[in-house]
Amino acid sequence: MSQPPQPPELPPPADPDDDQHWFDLLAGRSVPDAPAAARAEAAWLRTALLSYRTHAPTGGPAAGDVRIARLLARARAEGVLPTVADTRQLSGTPAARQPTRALWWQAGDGSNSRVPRWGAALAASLAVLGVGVLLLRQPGIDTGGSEVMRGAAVQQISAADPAQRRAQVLQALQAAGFDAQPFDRLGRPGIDMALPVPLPAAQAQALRTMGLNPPGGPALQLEFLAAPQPAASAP
Amino acid sequence: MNLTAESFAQACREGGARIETWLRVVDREHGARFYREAASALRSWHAAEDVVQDAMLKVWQRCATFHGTGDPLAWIHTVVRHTLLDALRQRRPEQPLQDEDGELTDQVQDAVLDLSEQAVPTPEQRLSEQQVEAVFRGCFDRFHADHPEHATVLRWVVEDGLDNTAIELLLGRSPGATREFISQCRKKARPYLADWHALVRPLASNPPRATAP
Repeated sequence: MSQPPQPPELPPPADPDDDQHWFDLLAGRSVPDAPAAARAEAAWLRTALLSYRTHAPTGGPAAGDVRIARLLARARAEGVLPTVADTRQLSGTPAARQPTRALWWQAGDGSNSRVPRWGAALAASLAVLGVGVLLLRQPGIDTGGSEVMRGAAVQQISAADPAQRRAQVLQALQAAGFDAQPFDRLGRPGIDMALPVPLPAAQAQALRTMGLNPPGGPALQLEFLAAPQPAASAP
Repeated sequence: MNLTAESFAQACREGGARIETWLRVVDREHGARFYREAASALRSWHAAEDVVQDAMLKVWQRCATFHGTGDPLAWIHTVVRHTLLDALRQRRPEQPLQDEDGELTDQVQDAVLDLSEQAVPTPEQRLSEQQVEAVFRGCFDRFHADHPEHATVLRWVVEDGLDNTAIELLLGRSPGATREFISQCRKKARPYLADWHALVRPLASNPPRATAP
C-alpha cells in the first residue's frame, strides 16, 4: 500500500507584523525591514496576479440603453428619482395630483380612496407635530443653543449635549416614520436619512416642525456639534 | 457634464434631473470598468449588473455622506466595491480555517492534501510559462471559489495598491479587524497556492522584483 503524497511544503507561520509587511509588499510599497521570506512570497504572488489578470466571464454587459433604462426604473421605484407622476405633480399637472406609489405616510392604507390616504397623512403630520412640540418642551434639552447652521443636504446642529440631542431627534424622526439611521464620524454624532423624491408635503412639514430644512435630494444628513460654552461673565 | 465634487453635491441637494444625468454619465463613461470588475469577481454579467446598480442607488441614497473635498468617482468606486464584497459574502458564508484549539480543521487539511494530489509536474521538470500560468490560475480560482471576498480583495490590493485605510473603508471594519482580515487573506490563500508555490520554489533564489502598481 503506497503512502499518501505529502502536501507541498508551506511557508512558515506568520506573525501579525510579518503579515503587514507581506501585505504592504503585495501592494507595491517598499518595506526595507521585511524578512526575506515575506519579501519573496509577496513578490511572487504580486507578479503572478499582475501577469495573470482575471478573465471576465464570456459574454458582456447588457446594451447601454437597456442597462440605463433598467437602472433608471429601479431608481424611480426606490425613490432616488421622481416618478413621472411625481414630476407632473410638481409641475402642477392636474391629472397627476394623486400619487401613484405608496409613500411612507400611506403605509397600511390598501384602499384607493384619497380620503383615508390624506387622513393618514394628516394624522401622521399631527403626530410629528406633537413629537416635535414634546421634544422642544422636554426639560433639560438645550433649545436655545440648538440651531441649524447649514441648509444643504448636510445640516449641522449645535447643542450643549450633541449625543443626547441626536438621540432625541433620532427618536422623533423614527417615530414620524422617517428612514433615519445614526452614525458617528470623527467623534461627531450624526443621523443619515433616506428620503423620497420629491419629498411629500407632510414629510417636508414634519422636518420643518423639527427645525430642519427639507432637502431637494433623496438624502439628508444631520451632524450634531457641541455648542460653544458661553463666556464667563465679568464680576 | 463634469463629474466634479461640486456637481455631485449639487445633484445630491437638488435631486431629480441632476441625479439622472449623473446616473447616465457615470454608466456611459465608467460603467464598463465597474461591470467588468463585478463580473470578474461574481463570474456572471447578470449578477454584476444587479450589484453595480445596487451600488448606484446606494450612492444617491447616501450621497449626503460624501464630503465634498474628494473625488466623487473614487467614492462611487468604493461603494461599488463595498457592495460587491457584500454580494460575495452573501454567496458563501465564511468558514473558519482553524478549530477552537488553533489547529487546521479537518476540512482544510483535506483540502491541502487534495490540492497536493492533483497532477502537478515535478519541480525538476522544465515548465513553460503557460504551464505556470495554468497552475496559478487553477490554484487561485479554487481560492476564489471558496473565499471570494478574500481573493477579490487580494487582487485589488495588488492592482490598485490599496492600503489598510482603503481596506477598512471597503470592509467597514475597525483597524484591528482589518489587520486580522489581512492576516486571514494570507493564511487562507496559502493552502490553495501550495501547488504553485511548489512549482516556483526552485526559482525562488531569484524572486521577481515587485513592481509598482
